[in-house]
Amino acid sequence: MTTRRVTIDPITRLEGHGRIEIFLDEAGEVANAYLQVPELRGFERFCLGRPAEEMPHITPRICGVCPTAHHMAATRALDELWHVEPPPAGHKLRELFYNLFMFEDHTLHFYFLGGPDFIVGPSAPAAERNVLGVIGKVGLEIGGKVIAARKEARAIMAEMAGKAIHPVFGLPGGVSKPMTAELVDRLKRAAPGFVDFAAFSLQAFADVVLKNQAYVQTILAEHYTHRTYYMGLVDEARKVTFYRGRVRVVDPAGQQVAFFEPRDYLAHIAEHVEPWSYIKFPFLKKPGWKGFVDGVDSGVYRVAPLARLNVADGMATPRAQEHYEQMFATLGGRPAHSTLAFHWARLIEALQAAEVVLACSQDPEILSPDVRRVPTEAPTEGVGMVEAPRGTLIHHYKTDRNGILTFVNLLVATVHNAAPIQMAIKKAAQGVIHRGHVDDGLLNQVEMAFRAFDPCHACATHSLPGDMPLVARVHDASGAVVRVVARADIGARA
Amino acid sequence: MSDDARILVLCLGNDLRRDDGVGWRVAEQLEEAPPAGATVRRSAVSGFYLIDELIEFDRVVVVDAVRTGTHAPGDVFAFPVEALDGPPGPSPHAVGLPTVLQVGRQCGLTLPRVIHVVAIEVDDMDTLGAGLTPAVEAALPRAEALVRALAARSTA
Repeated sequence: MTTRRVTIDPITRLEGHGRIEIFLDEAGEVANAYLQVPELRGFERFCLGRPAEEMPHITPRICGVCPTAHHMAATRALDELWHVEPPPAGHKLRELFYNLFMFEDHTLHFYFLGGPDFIVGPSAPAAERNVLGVIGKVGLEIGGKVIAARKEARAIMAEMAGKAIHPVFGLPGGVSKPMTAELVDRLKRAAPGFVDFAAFSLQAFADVVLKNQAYVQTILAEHYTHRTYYMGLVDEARKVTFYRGRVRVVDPAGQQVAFFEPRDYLAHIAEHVEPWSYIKFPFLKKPGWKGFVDGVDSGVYRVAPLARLNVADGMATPRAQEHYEQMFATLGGRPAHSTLAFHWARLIEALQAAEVVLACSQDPEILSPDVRRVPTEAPTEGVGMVEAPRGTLIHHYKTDRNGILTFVNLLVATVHNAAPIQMAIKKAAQGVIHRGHVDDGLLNQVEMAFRAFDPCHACATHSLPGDMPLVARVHDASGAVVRVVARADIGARA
Repeated sequence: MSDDARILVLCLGNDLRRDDGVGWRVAEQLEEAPPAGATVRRSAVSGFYLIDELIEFDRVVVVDAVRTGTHAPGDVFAFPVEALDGPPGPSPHAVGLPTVLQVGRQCGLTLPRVIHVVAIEVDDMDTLGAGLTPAVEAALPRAEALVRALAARSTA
């Protein structure tokens, strides 16, 4: 049988090395498609034998994109490892810090990474489908606004934590230092602007995307839809939370099927191994692994912004709640299964994060000097779970009595989503590629399916120049390249 | 802030990825006696996150690992950022320094007027662990000297 293979081969310092393989049959229809990820392996083994208290500083270096999430998950794991509960102000400052991070990361993602597909349009020419295109649609000043809002958020984070990128902040039992009155004043001045900016972003999304029926139809398209389980943290009121909570799982109809403490995750999640990928594919034990399929009988689940909104009874803040209700009304109820709605949910979360920062800024408790309880018990085992921008992040450590690591398991958002990403790519490819016709615009629509997950493959390698060479090659059955679809390699003219 | 204080030596890298840590090792050497008027900074970020590092400075020397595959490990290059031959990213998901600068300026941001790059060809940045391979370790004095010369030229 004659087949040909289309390869999308992004190699990038930001996201690790990934390759989309699309196999076409004789009729030019998509027979199969999957993402191959040469993952950064061995990190957990690298940590063994080290003092556990180093983990909040080592693990952020896994990733040049969301180090703060690793820092906080590691810190939460150390609380449990040393059996110490931070004082209220310790939790509060961590929550403030973490919500500043979620706000700045989500807004960056929307404008620079995910937004172009929506605000400019999925089938716009590639040359316009970038942040400049976004600026052209929503106004020249927006670039400056994004930078200014993020800059102030990060400056406050750096004041709180020594540095924003690799923080020296979380300790078992609390945080390293209390807030000063000057910093709280700065936070009070900045926080209303964060809320305004997040609200502005949702308004821009409403004006440009939601008022364009073609864009809404793209979001709702069947080839971008999977009816899976969802997992995420919720707070005591079962509302969306990022820093701490219990884990809730809902089925494709939205019914709660599990509600557990982070430390019990292994009772609910197992991992499936495929011979063609380094990634292990987590699944829910109860339904079990049934392959790369959705539906109530398949244990495939998703994490990430939309998953968090799907598992929660609502947002934790009032303005975000209004948008939560509008989103589910538009998407036909909760849970929503449209992969591209991840972007919308991300903006609603950015608004919640900004509102939480504003509420924290007005809470006198953030000036409390009582920010840490020093551990007194011997360490044993700890699980830390936070909601990273890209979804649930789990750190699980065991140590000997001296706090030397004997077991490390890190389960990151992209791994939770590994099976759904495979399914999303295949379904999108089958939806848009027909009769052998493959071009840049169609490949972008396939890429959109996995870009919504914002996959991050644990790679912080920093080689210049960093732009992503995307090579799409068409192979015939003998393996010979018969056509190069898109772009080539880059190098420095030294 | 005086004009001289707006010179940045931005050392990029990840010191848990073997040779990818070379930028930070150069930083370590520079920090002992920073070039006159310059701020030496280590960073692990990339893409648009670099804007956060660059935005307050007038002139910058970026130090980073490079893998051209066509030069020997330990070869050191210095060139203006305009010589970086990166295509505009086909996806917004990954962008390099040239695109960051282009986009930032078109957004109306005030970004450094002059950026030089000092790049060190690496051997291994796929293995987890600290420490440089011998050829890259041996390149440190040359890289440091180039950075100092460029930083001095920036102050002239």
